[in-house]
Amino acid sequence: MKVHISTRISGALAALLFVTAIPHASAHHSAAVFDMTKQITVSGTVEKWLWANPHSWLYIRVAKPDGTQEIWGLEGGSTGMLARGGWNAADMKPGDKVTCSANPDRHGNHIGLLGDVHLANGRVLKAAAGAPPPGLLGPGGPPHPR
Amino acid sequence: MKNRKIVLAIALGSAMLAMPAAAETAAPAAPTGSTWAEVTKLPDFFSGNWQSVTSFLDHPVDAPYTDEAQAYVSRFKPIKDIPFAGATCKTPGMPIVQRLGSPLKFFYEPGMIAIYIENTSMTRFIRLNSKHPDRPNPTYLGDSIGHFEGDTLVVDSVGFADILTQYGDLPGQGKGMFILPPESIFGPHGPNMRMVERIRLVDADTLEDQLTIYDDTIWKKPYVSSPVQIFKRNRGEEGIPHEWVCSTANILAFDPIQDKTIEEDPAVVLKRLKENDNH
Repeated sequence: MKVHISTRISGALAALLFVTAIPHASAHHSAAVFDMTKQITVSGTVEKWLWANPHSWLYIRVAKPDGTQEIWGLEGGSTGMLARGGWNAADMKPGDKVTCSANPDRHGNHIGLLGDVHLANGRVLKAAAGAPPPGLLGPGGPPHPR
Repeated sequence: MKNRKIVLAIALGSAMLAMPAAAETAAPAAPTGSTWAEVTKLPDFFSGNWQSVTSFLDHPVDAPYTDEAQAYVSRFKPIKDIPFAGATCKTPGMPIVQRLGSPLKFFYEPGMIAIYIENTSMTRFIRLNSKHPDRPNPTYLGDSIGHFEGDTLVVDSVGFADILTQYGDLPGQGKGMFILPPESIFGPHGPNMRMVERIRLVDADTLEDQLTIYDDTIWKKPYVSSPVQIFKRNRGEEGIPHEWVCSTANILAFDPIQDKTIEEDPAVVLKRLKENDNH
């Protein structure tokens, strides 16, 4: 198991992430359940990559040092938003090794808001911001819905 | 001589009276949006798609409540999350469904502009230069008619089902760039709610939609939505919208009745998903 929790994320960045996440998750809930001030790294084996709306979910089997295992569910964007961000339903399949960044659940459930995914072949699926219209990204620009 | 002039004048006058006025004989000009050829002259709403970059909920608006609405607002308790969708992905309806960041795609045919909304895969059909039916059935997008005023598409919508209606914001709230659901007041709307949108291009890749809502069961004067909704254009592959079908495989869902987010154990959900895959 590799679940590393970092609280070093700055307050300003946390606020930006929180605001950015609101439209992203607006299809059926906001990001209120996730602690946007913390970031975790989850490494394991893909059990299922659910390409779905309103949110896609990546299920990972994580092996803990004590020999036990945990199932983690990491929530991504809608299929359209992910596709516009360069993701694909075929990017991951059961058995693939992945390392993901995520914002953890406030209540300790093994879930998180999915960030980047590092695939075993070296490719990185960046936290999908959908298709950024021109001029939206960068400091001062409106946060883009995911 | 004098008599001849009088006779001629009478004859000419009679002839003129017999002639229909020119304005009565000329066919009235067809209003904008009536032919295929006109699409090349309309503002280009149609290339690519559009994504909102503004808050999907409104800033405080200067529209005083009716007595009935004021009584409702005084009893209103802030909610913890977004009061729509839930596990079944029920659409919030107009206008919020257009503002959720999923793209809008405009289409044209003579007499109609359609807008596909990726979020919940819904399509608005705006009949140009037309009239509302006498008794529109309630829908989440409403019955929409439109016409062009210069380069501005004016859309008038009526006949709304139980859409998510924002009355305003709680005192002292709603001042940030993005307004959050716990800051806002939501409630029922009246049977004659009417929305008027003025849609135009600000520049080649920026579209604005200024919304005014008329509902005399909620507000004593028209509710002018703020901020003006701004959309940015995506072109090329990114300008192609996707389908959006609701999955029931979510670990998280907000229950507006309990005002609570329901979380499941991902291991339990995964087991259920795998069982479904085997059927």
